[in-house]
Amino acid sequence: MSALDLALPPRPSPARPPLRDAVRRVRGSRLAMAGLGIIGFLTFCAVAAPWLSIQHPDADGIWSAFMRDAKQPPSLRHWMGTDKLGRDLASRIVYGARTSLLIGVTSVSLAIAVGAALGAVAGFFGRWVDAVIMRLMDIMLAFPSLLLALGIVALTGPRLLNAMLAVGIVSIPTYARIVRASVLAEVGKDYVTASRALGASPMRLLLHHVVPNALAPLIVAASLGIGTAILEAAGLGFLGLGAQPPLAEWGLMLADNRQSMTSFWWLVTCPGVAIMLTVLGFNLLGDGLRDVLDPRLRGGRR
Amino acid sequence: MLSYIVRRVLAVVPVLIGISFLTFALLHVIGNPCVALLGDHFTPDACVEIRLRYRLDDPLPVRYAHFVGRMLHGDLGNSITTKRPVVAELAEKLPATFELALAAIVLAVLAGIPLGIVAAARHNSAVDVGAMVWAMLGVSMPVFWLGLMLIYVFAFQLGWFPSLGRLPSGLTIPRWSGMYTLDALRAGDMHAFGIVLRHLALPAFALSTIPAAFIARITRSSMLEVLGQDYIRTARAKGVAERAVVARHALKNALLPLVTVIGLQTGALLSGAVLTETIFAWNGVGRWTVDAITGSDYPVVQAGVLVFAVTFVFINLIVDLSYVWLDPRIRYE
Repeated sequence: MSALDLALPPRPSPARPPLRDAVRRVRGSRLAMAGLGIIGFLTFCAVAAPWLSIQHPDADGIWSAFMRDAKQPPSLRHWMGTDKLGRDLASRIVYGARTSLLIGVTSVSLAIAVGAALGAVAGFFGRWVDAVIMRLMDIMLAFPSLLLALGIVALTGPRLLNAMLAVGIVSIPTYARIVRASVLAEVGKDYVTASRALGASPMRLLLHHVVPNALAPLIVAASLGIGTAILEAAGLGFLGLGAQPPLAEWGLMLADNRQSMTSFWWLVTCPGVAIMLTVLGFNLLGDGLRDVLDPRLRGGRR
Repeated sequence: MLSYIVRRVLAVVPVLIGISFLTFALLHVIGNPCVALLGDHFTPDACVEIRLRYRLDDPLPVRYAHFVGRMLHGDLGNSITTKRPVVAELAEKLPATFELALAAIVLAVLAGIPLGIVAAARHNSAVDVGAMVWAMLGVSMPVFWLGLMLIYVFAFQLGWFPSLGRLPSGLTIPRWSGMYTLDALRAGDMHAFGIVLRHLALPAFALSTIPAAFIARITRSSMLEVLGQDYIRTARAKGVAERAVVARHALKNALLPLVTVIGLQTGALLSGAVLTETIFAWNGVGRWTVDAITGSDYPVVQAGVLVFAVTFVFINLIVDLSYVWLDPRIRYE
């Protein structure tokens, strides 16, 4: 504590710690809890995949007696049936949860890291820096997202890593805009001016004044963003431009099993339901969190 | 107001320049353009010719200027696979994509707006909950999976609709606009029109689902907001029938945010078109672009990305400008 602190009015202490308050409100939201339930279940599948599955997801039957297991209908042993290579579909779906969650979390983390940095720089420095960064973001937003991702994959080659990067890069502008808006909203306020007059560095202003205010919209956007990222990456996988065989990825599994669809309907039903359920989970959580954390964005949905 | 319109139109210019630069970069900045442009036909002699033709030995800014110059003259190079001018192929595929996207957006509006209105008018009823559950599922659904399921149920099991393509082989329609529905109508061939519609049905339905769900959600929330306002209470107090309150007093004001959503959804629709066209073997720009990526046909990739981005920019422009006309309260200084 320095003498300078005495010149400032004491910090108002909130009635309840904000974090605990937020947790309590999230608990009260049925949407958010339903979403969390689905995500929790998927995370469990992803973590426990080796114990939940009856065989390695890539174990195919080309070289073994497994081949007679190909295209089995759902049964007690293979309760989602087997694909054309005799691989147990349920095992592959469970392992697919790993791939999808990895894609969603990685690409959104990347987008937030880069987007938040760009948005903070744009907001703090203003003038031409702001203009250049935000025009660049506008240009990125001018591309339909899947198309921009396609372009990036076309450049870098069809690989899972590149698809993840592409999906992440595409959503950078969203986060840049949120952080920039928070910076602009806070920087003009008296307490920030006071803090700055006391010699606080831009980094300190950012961490102590901007980040807490940007957190709520960022969390909401991230939750919805993970859902979108999973959907887009599955789309890329389906087009053969994302995950490559034999990786257990839901979009790729749909594409693989497409030819067998007419007589083996379960092969395309299950991966599709898995994708939808996952995306639904993140959408529910995002919507629920939005209602709870960010009343300003609530619109008319109540 | 005029100055707003002028400024909004001018704001498109830097974005278009950015798009042109990104598409330029797609081919020229990374990798060896000779290899990209010649593919399997790479020979040193051919490479010399390419280097001259695309001025690859010039400095980057000069090359970019040259690229923009050619683009403005409608020259996007030749496809590596077919050897035909990219622009000629584009002219064949573009109407197919527009026809599909247009049909989908019309379906989405026709389904989404009434659903949203009913859900708002009967707030918290079973209809409301059902509509919102459906809308939530709709926005979470992978369009490529929905497409496959539609093919399975309506084409393979029930046999109501054809599963692939725009027309059965053997049937031709005199080409006019390239949109087969219009061409069939113009030729007065109702039989062909029916066949075209049946081919259009499944892909358009698949593509419309996500936008329909978004539109329903926004219509509902926008209606709920308007229905809570004082003038609605006044209308009800006067004894105006509930039906008239919803249809005449509330709807008009609730529709404004929808214009933005419909515009934005058209962009999402373009993304969805890539997947939908691939599944239904729809011979449009989306499928063309994806095939080009897998076949490393870079000039085509360039053209496809360019067309989608430019379309999206102009849709957004139209949406912004339509506000000036739709909402007299908004006066841009």
